[in-house]
Amino acid sequence: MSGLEINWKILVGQIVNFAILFFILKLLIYKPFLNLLKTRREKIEEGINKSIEAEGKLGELRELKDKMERENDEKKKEVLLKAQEEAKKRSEESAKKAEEEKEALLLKAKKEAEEIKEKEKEATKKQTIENAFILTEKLLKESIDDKKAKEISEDFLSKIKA
Amino acid sequence: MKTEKEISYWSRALYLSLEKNPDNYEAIFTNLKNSLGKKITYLPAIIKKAEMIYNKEKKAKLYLSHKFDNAEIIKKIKEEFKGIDKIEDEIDEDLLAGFRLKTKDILIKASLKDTLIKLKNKIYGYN
Repeated sequence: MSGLEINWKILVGQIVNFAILFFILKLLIYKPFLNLLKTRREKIEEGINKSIEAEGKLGELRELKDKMERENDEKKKEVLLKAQEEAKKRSEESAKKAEEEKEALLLKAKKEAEEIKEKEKEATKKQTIENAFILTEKLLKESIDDKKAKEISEDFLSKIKA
Repeated sequence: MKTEKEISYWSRALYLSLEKNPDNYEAIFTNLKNSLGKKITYLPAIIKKAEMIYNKEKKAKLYLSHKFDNAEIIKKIKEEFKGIDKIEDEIDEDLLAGFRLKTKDILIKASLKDTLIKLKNKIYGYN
């Protein structure tokens, strides 16, 4: 069995070589590789975390957006309602003003009509009085003779005191 | 002194003297002539002016509505209004009845026309 003999020296040499090689590989390749893997895993985990965080923030933003949209809708409704109320108020005010002006005009017209009526009434009254006096004068002129005139003159004189 | 003014003063003096002593008119005129001296030419103007003053002071105008015997009325007026010597009468048919007496100072409205005017003014509310 000369070909199958174990050469202890070679075996030990091989073992030592292997150990040295193992030690060198471990020191120079395995550890940096592990570190690299670790770093990469950490980065991936960090990325995943950030992604989850971003997802959360996105959700928050969506909620915020929805909230803002809801608020905007409410504000729009409120503004619209306010505008409608304002328009209604202005319309009512305009109608009220128009009504007041109409009433004032009517009152003025009524007053003017009354004034005209009063003036006509006054003129008629004046004319009636004038006619009555003209008639009275005419009647007196016709009915008073010299004798009567003398009596009246004496009567006036008796009432006068200097 | 201006002539006109001088005549006016002399005529006023003559009027007052004659009013005070109407019986002594001869003496008054003699005194006046003596006082005037060379200005005797003013005498007609002085007498005329004195007459005007007399007419203004002593004359009154009586307006009547009808022509009737007014002697009684004139007498009563003279009794009532002292200082009126002469009354001129005139017809004014518009008075209707009664009279108006106009003196230097006053106007007396005592006619039916004036009564009617007064009544009309009262109706119109002018008084």
